[in-house]
Amino acid sequence: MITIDDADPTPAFEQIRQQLTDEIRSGNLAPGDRLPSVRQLAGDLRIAAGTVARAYSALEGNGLLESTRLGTRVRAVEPLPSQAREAARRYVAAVSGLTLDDAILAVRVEWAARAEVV
Amino acid sequence: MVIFLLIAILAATIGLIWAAVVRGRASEAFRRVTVPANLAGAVRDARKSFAGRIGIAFAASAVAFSAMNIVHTTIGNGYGLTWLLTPGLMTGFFLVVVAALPKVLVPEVGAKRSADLARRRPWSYAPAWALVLPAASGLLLLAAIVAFGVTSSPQEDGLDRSLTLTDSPYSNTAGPYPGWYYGLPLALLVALITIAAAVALARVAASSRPTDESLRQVDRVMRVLATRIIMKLTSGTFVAYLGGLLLLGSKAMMSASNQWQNTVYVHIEPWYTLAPVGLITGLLLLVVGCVLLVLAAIDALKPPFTAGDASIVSGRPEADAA
Repeated sequence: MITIDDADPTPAFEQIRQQLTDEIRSGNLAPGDRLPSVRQLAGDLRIAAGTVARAYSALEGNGLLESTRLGTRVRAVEPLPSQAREAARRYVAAVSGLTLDDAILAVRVEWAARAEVV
Repeated sequence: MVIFLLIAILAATIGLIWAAVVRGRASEAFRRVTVPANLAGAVRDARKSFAGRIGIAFAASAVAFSAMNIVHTTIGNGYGLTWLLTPGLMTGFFLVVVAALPKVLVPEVGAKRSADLARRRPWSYAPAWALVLPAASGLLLLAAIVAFGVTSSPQEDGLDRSLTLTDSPYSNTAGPYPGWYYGLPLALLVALITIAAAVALARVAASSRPTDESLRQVDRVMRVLATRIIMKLTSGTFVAYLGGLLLLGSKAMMSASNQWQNTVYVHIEPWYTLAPVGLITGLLLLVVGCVLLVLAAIDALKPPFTAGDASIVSGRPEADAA
């Protein structure tokens, strides 16, 4: 599922790119899965076809998608390690009172602190 | 007398199937889908839009009928050719309008819009057998057109619309026979209907989904319904044409294969045996075709929603498709 939020200052193409990246890297979209056509997705989201095409193109550039005459498919990529998802699940459960932005901020700070130690 | 008998059989068959469909729908093929009260307006608009679309398509069919009637009265019926093509043209006009009308089935609501990542195809809204039916009936109709065309012979005016059977030195000619004169325009019509149906199905599948997740089920029901109408209309037209051709051809076969040779009637085989088989098969196919057309009309005239503040009644999309 892809969601576009007009209230989000992030450009629509970036919202699509980010959400598709998450779906592919998390394994929700498997290698070989076909994505909807640019026209279908653009129509459903009520945005210009060029916006979806730009997001698809960026994902192709990142090696996550490939386009053929039959459509756009998910390429085989290394999925997120399962232990990382499991740790994230525990973390999310532990910080249930925080917003997503604050939760990510906490991870970012700890990540930077660990980098300094190393 | 025979005509009255045929009409009685036709009416009885349609009546029985209609009753069966109504009973089946009342018992298990319907289920209740709850729509939040704030979306009732959007659902009502969608229902109006769907009914309007079907109404305009019916009007287009009526225009086709009137146009052919004008051709019939001003230019002539071309030995029945205009009447033969009229039902097919009505179906074609209906499908073209369904394919051409707006792409959005359910109006959007809200500023936060979501879409799933499943590809929608024309066959996403009907079981496989429902797609095979129009394709198979269309191919059978084309095969019948070729078979009748190959066996036809020209009349005195040079048009291939009769059947001549020879049992030397005698020969017998009977008509009207669905030879190339009728078959070629009909084959062209079959191709046009097939293209129109394919485009209409593709358009139904490709039209944009509602942006609100709670309207997805309503949207799916409407797509299933539109797909069912297209399938039944196309299959019904092809099957009815096939039945009509078999009736027409078998009647000519029966006349031509029963030859008076000086003192006795001689039956020319295999035509004499094929004729009654063709008559019965043609009659059955005509009934089946008409039943499919009636079922398409029921789907078209009976929108899937009943009036209500916050709920609708719909056909079961997965189980009831096509």
